Amino acid sequence: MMLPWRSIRLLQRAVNLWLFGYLFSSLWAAEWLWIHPAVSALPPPPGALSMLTHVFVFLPAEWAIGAVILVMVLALRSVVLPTRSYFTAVQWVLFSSLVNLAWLTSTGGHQLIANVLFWMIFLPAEEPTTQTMERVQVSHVVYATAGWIIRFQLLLAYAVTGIQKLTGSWWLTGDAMGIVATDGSYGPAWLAAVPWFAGVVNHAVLFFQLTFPVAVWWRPARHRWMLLGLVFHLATGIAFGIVDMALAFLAVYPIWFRTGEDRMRR
Amino acid sequence: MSSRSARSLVAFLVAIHVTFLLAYTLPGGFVPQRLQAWSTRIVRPLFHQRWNLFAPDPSPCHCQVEVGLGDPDWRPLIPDDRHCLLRRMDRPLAELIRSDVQRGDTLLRPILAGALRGLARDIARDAGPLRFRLVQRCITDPERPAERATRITRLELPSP
Repeated sequence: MMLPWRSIRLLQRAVNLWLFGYLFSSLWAAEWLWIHPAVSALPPPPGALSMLTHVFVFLPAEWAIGAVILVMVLALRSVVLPTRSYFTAVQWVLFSSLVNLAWLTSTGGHQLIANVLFWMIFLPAEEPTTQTMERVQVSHVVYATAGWIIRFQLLLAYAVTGIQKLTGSWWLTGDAMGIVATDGSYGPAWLAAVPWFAGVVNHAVLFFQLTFPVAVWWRPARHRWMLLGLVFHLATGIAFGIVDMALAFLAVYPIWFRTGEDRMRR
Repeated sequence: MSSRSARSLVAFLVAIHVTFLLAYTLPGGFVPQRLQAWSTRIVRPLFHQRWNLFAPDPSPCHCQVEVGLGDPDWRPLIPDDRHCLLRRMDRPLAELIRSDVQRGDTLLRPILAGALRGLARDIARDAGPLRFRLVQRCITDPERPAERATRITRLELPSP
C-alpha cells in the first residue's frame, strides 16, 4: 500500500526543481506576465472552492510577481530541506492561481504539476520510521492515498490523450503527424516531406500513449517505457517549443520508481 | 485500523477520485451525462485538466493574429524576438478567435479583445489605433499537409 520513501522524496525534489526552473525562466517575461499582465485572469468557475485556485481574480494582478518569488523560494527550500505540507499548500494555491492568470501560456504540464502539488500536501516530510510503520495510522492512509492518486494522475494523462486521439480520424489514418509538422506553430516541417516516417512517428506516439499506463506495472517494461517517455517528451518539447511541459511530465516519473516497494509491503 | 481495512479505504478513495477525473477528461460520448455534470462540479474548481493536445485531430489550420499599422503593414501580434512564453500565447489565442469566427462572430468576446489590446500595448503606444486580423493557413488535403490555403478575416473589437 505504501509507496517507497525514495520515490516520494525524488518526486518532491523533481517537482520543486521544475517549479523553480519554470518560474525563474518566466522572470524574463515578468513585465508581460506578472507585473503588468497583458492578459486578464480567467474568470473562476462557479463554487467557493475555485477562490483557492483563482486568487488573482480577487487580488491585484500586480501582486503576482510576489507570488512567483515566494513559490520559487519555497521550491528551492523543498529541494534541499524536508518538504513541509503547509509550504506545499501555499505553493499549490499560488501556482494554480498563476497558471490561471497566465492561462494563455499554460500547457498540460502546468495542469499536471498543479494537480500533483495538491496531493503532495499530504505526503510526509520525512521518512516514516520503522516504529510508526508497524501499526496502521490514519496518516498512513492519507500518505498512501495521495501517493497512489499521483501515480494514477500520470497514467490518466497518457491514457486520456491516447483515447481522445482514437476518437478522431487523422491519427488513425496516420496523417496527423504530418499536419502538426507543417503547422507553422510547431514543426519540424521536414517530417512531412518523408510521409512514411511521419506515419511511423504518428503510430508510435499513439502506441506509446496508450501502452504507458499498462507497461509501468511491470519492472522490465517500466524502465523501457520511461526511457521511451524521456525521448518522446524531449523530442516534442524541443520541436514544439514546450520544453517546460516535457520536463513537467518527467518530473512526475519518480512516483513510479518502485525500488524498495517490496520492503514496504512486508 | 486493520491493515486490510486501511488498504480498502485507500483503494476506495483513489477509485472515487480517478473516476471523477476520467468523467471530466474523457470525450463526452464516453461518459453518462449526469456523471459528467457531477465531475465538472467537483473537478473544475480544484483539479482542472484537459488532455486533448492535437486531439481528437490536430487543427487543420495554422492560425495567427496580425496587427495592422498602415494599410500594407501587417505584422504578427507577438514578434519572434519575444520571450518564448509570450510567443506561446499567440496560438491558443488565435485558436479561440478562430472558433468564434467559425461560429460567425467577428466581434470578439471582451476577454479575447482585452488580450489582443494587452499584447499589442507597446505597438499601440507608438503607432496609435490598431487593426487586427486572423490569418489561417489551412490544409486542403490531409495527405499533402504542406499545401495550405490562406484565409484572412478582419476582426472587430468591442469598445474597451
